[in-house]
Amino acid sequence: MGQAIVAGLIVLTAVVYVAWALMPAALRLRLAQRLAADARRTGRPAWLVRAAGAIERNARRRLGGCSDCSAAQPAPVPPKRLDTD
Amino acid sequence: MSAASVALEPMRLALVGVPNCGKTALFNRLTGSRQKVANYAGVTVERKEGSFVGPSSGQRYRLLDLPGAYSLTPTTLDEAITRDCLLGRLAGEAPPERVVCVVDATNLRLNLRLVLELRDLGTPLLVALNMSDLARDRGVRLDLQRLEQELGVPVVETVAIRDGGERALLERLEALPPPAARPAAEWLDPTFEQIQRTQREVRRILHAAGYTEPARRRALQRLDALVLHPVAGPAILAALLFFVFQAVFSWAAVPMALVDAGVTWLGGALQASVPPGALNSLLVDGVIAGAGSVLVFLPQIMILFFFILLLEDSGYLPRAAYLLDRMMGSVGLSGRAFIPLLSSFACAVPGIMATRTIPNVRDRLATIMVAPLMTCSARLPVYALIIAAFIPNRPVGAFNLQGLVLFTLYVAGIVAAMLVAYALKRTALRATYHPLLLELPEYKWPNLRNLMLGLWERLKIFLQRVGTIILALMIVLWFLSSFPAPPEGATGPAIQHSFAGMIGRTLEHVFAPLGFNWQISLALVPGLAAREVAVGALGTVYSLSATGDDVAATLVPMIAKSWSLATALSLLAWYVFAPQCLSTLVVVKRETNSWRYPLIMAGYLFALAYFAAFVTFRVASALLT
Repeated sequence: MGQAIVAGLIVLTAVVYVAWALMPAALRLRLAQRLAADARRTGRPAWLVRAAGAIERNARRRLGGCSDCSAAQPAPVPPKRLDTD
Repeated sequence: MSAASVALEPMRLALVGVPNCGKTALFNRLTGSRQKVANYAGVTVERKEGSFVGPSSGQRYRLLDLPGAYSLTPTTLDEAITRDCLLGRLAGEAPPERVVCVVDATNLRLNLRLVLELRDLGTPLLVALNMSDLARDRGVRLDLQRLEQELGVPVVETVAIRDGGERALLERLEALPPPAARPAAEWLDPTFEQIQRTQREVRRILHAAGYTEPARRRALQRLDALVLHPVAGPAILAALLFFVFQAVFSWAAVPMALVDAGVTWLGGALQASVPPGALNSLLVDGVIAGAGSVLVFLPQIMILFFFILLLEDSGYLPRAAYLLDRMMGSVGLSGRAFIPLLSSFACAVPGIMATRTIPNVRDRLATIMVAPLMTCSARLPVYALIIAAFIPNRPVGAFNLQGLVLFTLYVAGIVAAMLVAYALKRTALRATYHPLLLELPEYKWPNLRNLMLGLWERLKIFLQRVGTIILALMIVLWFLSSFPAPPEGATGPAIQHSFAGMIGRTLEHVFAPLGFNWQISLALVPGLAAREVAVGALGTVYSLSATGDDVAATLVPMIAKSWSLATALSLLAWYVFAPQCLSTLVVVKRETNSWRYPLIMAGYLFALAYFAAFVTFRVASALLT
């Protein structure tokens, strides 16, 4: 029974991670921002605020479905231009 | 605002320069980053950001590494990013307060037009005379003080690839007076007469500063005559690529056996130490059999990247682009497509981003559409697994048969890309041919530190990938393969009654004409997240399908026993064209600003993969029976 509970928790974590890693970048960022905003509300423990902040930073940094290639690590979406030529 | 608060505000500093002058090497030196550097133009195609603290003043700097540009009149998307950033035309991004223009001391004639244009913008400017050691070695003469006087801006020598090579730059940067508030810089594209005037001014300044063009070594001239020869050149290129693929197999044999032994030992140890149950099965059949079977291919990937990095650093790659320009031109692709397509051998994502250097939008779209056909490194584990299981490891003349097959698969990808480009350029993306104008950098001995850092980065990326998304997918797949439990009295492996078994059997109807069984059909699904996951998925599925003594066997003998040679060849043909991973589709959407192109890409690649695998399976079945 103990083994089944531990295995279940590991599977649950993996499912959440896979969903997080493969969801569209814009949706991931929106979710992370909402999570961070919720965590910053008064009365929340400091570790939760820090964790939500880290998740938000991670979501900002990531480009797409995976963080495998060097181009995906530091690349934000190209900023919008104010004017066009 | 107090002086203290001013010091706390980071100062925006931009690194600008012509392509391949060493901006990113200087950026890495200043910020401690490890952005990709290589000895050819067009490596940086977007702004990159880092920060550092001035050693004497304590001033924080926010440093922007901008794509290379020959002038402020852009001809490509990456040059436009540089201009817009400098002029403050990017939303949410203030213009830099100071600019460091990096110039290649060995090629000042090409670099000074940009310096003069930047000076006219009025942003405080500092010129970094990079590669000054190389210039001295090659006999370049220059009166630095006179150059500074003529330009009217500080000029400082730097050697970006050497420890301390940035020290003089930092000292001059710190000595500059604080920037005064001023309106945003204005820029109007110059007329032809103005450009001519600027070029005359460049020549006058260089003459006044006593600049002498560096002499080229005879040995390098001879080497270029050989490497760029119309007959010898392509033969050398083919031999080089051939050698790389041979090495991928023959050099990797021992380290792969060691990793494999380590993975097997770990699996055995876990099997023995964790009591039988769900956790035991998850660790042994899911984690070790799945992620472990991908990890085994680490040595092959490292060897492939060792050669790619070596060639990148040496200056050979632009020569290869020159050699292949005729072939690219014959199918209608721009010569500038070579570097993006080459980058796609590592991963299609940076390759597609590198198409920003292609000025014509139709040429750019055609290159984006064929980039996924280049064999990315994620396909290597799939190829290696099937080749190891079905192709005998025996010599064919001076070569190894397994290496020959791998070489053929890479060539098949290139030929397919050329054919698709030919079709696109004669139909939907017709455009006039743009001749290749490419600066050939000087040959350099590869820098050992760069090489090691590059390999270290690849190692980290691969291990991180195995430890995160691949591991997580394998755990999910284990769950799908283990539940629900088989009904009472059921025979055969439990996986056949699981969710994964049901999905696999449903997909088998689609893929059976290609010779794929339900295990292969199932493995293709997580392979969409990342291609090498297909190997891990096969590891998990076969581990859970196996009974008795088979449990201890590794994946290679297991698939060698379960599949026919026709099925194996069909799967190889599938993976030459295989529909792209999700990341690539997302990047195509971002770069084309539309879902149209990623959808067309996924559709045509699926159709091609299906057709190629079908024909391969049918022909192989007919010939082998």
